[in-house]
Amino acid sequence: MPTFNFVFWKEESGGFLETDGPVIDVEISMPKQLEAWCVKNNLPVPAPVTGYALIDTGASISGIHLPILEQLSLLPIDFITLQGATGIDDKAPVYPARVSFPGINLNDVPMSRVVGNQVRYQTPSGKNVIMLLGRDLLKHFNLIYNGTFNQIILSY
Amino acid sequence: MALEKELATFEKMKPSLMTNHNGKFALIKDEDFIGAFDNAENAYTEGVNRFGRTEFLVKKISEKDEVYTNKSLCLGLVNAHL
Repeated sequence: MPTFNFVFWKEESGGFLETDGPVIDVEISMPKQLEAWCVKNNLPVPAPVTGYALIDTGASISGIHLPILEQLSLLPIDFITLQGATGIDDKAPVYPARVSFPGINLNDVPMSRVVGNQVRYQTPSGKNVIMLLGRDLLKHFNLIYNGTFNQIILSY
Repeated sequence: MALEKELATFEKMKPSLMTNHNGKFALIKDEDFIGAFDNAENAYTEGVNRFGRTEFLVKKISEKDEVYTNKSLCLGLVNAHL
């Protein structure tokens, strides 16, 4: 079982874990099937988009910033109910995507269903968050949040 | 809205899909049901092979609709400027 430690601490700034939350670097690209189809039909393959994913145990399904999915020339494959705080349900588009996490050496994870949403924001330390990593992916991980030492430990 | 025709087709076919393919993923293009697959990945692969980069529906066949809950987004915590 590979185990990865992420330490969120710098001498000049103190602990980032409390302010930024548990974030890991992420690369989002077109699904392999669609990439192969584009190559076969002499169509351009969009470059992968890099940023950070916030580990979000409150999300049932992972979400990716919608404009990035559109930038990758992806089309929605479904719409599902988005349960809001107001009690009014809305519809959220579902997309396929391919995701890599270079920091934990986990590459080309096919995600057949991610929600397209407006999730982009910048953490106080300037990290560009473009994805919320939900329980659909976290179910494959062991996650330890060690606030005392500004550290998260991920293993799979 | 995107996939309007496909979603209407799914709703129309839902009773028979529930009887014959409960728990699988349906692949639908326009008003045509292409097939039911064990997982969304296989359904998507078939969709790309047949239709390339065009709209098609990949939807779980289930009595209850799939629901996306995100407490951070619901509460506005992710995009909050504190």
